[in-house]
Amino acid sequence: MSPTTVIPFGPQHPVLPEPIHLRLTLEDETVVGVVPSIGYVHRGIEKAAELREYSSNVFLMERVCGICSFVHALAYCQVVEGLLKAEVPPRAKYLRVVYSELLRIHSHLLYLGLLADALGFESLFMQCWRVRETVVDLMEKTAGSRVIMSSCAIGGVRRDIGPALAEETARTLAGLKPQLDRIAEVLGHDYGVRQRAIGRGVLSREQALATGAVGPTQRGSGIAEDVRTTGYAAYGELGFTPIVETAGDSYARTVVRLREVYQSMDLIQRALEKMPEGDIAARIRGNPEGEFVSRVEAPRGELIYYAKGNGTRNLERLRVRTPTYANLPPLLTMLPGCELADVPVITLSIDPCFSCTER
Amino acid sequence: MPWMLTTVLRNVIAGPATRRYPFEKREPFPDARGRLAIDRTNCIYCTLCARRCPSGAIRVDRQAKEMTFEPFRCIVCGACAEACNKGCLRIEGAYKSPAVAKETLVFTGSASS
Amino acid sequence: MLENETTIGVEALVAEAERLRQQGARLVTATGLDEGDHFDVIYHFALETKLHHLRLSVAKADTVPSISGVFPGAFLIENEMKELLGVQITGISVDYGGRLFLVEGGPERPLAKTEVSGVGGQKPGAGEPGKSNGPATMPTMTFGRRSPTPDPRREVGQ
Repeated sequence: MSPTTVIPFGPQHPVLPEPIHLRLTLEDETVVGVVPSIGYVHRGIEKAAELREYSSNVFLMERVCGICSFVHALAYCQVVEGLLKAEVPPRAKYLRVVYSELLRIHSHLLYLGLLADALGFESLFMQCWRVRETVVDLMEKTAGSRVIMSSCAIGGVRRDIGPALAEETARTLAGLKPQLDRIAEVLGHDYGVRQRAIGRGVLSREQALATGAVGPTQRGSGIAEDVRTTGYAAYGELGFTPIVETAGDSYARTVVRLREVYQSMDLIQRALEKMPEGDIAARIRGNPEGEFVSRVEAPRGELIYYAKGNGTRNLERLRVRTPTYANLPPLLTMLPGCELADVPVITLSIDPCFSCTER
Repeated sequence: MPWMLTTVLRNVIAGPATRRYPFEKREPFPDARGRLAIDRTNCIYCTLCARRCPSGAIRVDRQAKEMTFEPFRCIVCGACAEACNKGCLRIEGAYKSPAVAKETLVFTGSASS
Repeated sequence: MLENETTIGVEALVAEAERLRQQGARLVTATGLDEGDHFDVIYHFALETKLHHLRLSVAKADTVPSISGVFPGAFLIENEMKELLGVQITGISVDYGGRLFLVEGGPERPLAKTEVSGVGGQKPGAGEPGKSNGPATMPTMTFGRRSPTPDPRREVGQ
């Protein structure tokens, strides 16, 4: 029985976008145990949501996470619309799809860049983020803001996308495809990427089911589950099939996200073509009452909001469960058995967002 | 090696890939949200803007006919600009500049008393 | 009332969780609600594309068994409920002792709406409830409160 060493991973680490502390127990170079320690970015948002009126909470919930801010606002608006029994106009549903998919593209490109950076491949990181810069500029032209879009409102969306802007969006995204193809080629064929991502951090299908993985982490292990198949917003009318890979390693999860970027570009094209005319927001009356649950597919997985209203302008309880919260137990299953040098890449391959986890 | 030659030549001939900020600035996109501009010519002190602000950056004192605005509390969401019926608040595209100290702007006196 | 919800007793929780796991369900999350004199705990499960909810009511001083033996991913959720709300959950596979999110000397049980009496504050390392650590009341918070040192005021006129 060789002696064990305890090494802290985090809370500050170049590979981590947000802090988490993993207490790794090592035997020589192999990880045999891991205990996570979270709470570095806990801001008490569930409590803050109870203190504010339900209409101002949209701006608060957007700021749970910077990278996936629109889907938090969308899930919140959906849950409050469920409590108020409000109906969202069809054009607003399509616009919500467009904004969600733009957000998904930007988030996945961010992840691909961070993965390249974690592997030390800085020039690929710059290329991925250069493509992302165009997408983020699109978000500023359509929604008004680069990252925290503030576009979702209870009852619809706040901003419309006119025909000229829609055409420009479609054209810009089509122009990004060749650059994306070049990035995909490098990720697929580069020796360094393949050596450090293929076969590392394997999460088998049974383990993914048992630990409750969500999102690309789950789909990289062969389970075809995606909240967009339930048809919220306009996904029911656009038709959607989840992207699945079976290998279950870091490379499989990366490939799922890369293919989802192409799928999102296609979804935006179709949504902009099929978008009906009409209002972009419905008038909201009354106070929330009862209980409701709404689920949305964030770039990292399934995001679920539970809300309870008591007839006043403040919500009684708001519960948020973000995808990285559900992906932490699979991470703890993936790490034992790997080597210390693989820990950063494996931790990054679940696309962690700890400000989401801790709210 | 020879496949790098096209990339090398292209990089030598073309200029830098990034904009030379702050000497070159990009024009803000239309409808971008950069900062709040206040024009109190038509203000009627309805206090709707103060009630809608999610971060409490605008405060209106009806009796003293005074409005205070803290630019560094403002999250540029535009809720106040949507609420104002008189067009006193407008969101502009240029980002608000950084400063060395936070300040509070106080608007006194009334235009339409 | 949520759609697809069943109310069960505390003693049936682990058996129901096991039954759902064998059908292939996934634990999504659990919500704790402070109803004044008791807690309502709702467990949300996902089976294929539908959600199933299990609701149980438990008095504030009573204990709830942990389902981390059935669903290993439940330990984070149960630690959070115990810490932020005060639900007494026993037997969690990894117990943080009240220090997952909150710090020493910080607010205790911030999400609880009323004083949780008869229950001790959790000390790190202690497995059973001990003496209360301090008042278990909500910290007073006001929305949009000004900071104590006023910012320099600049008169702009009109």
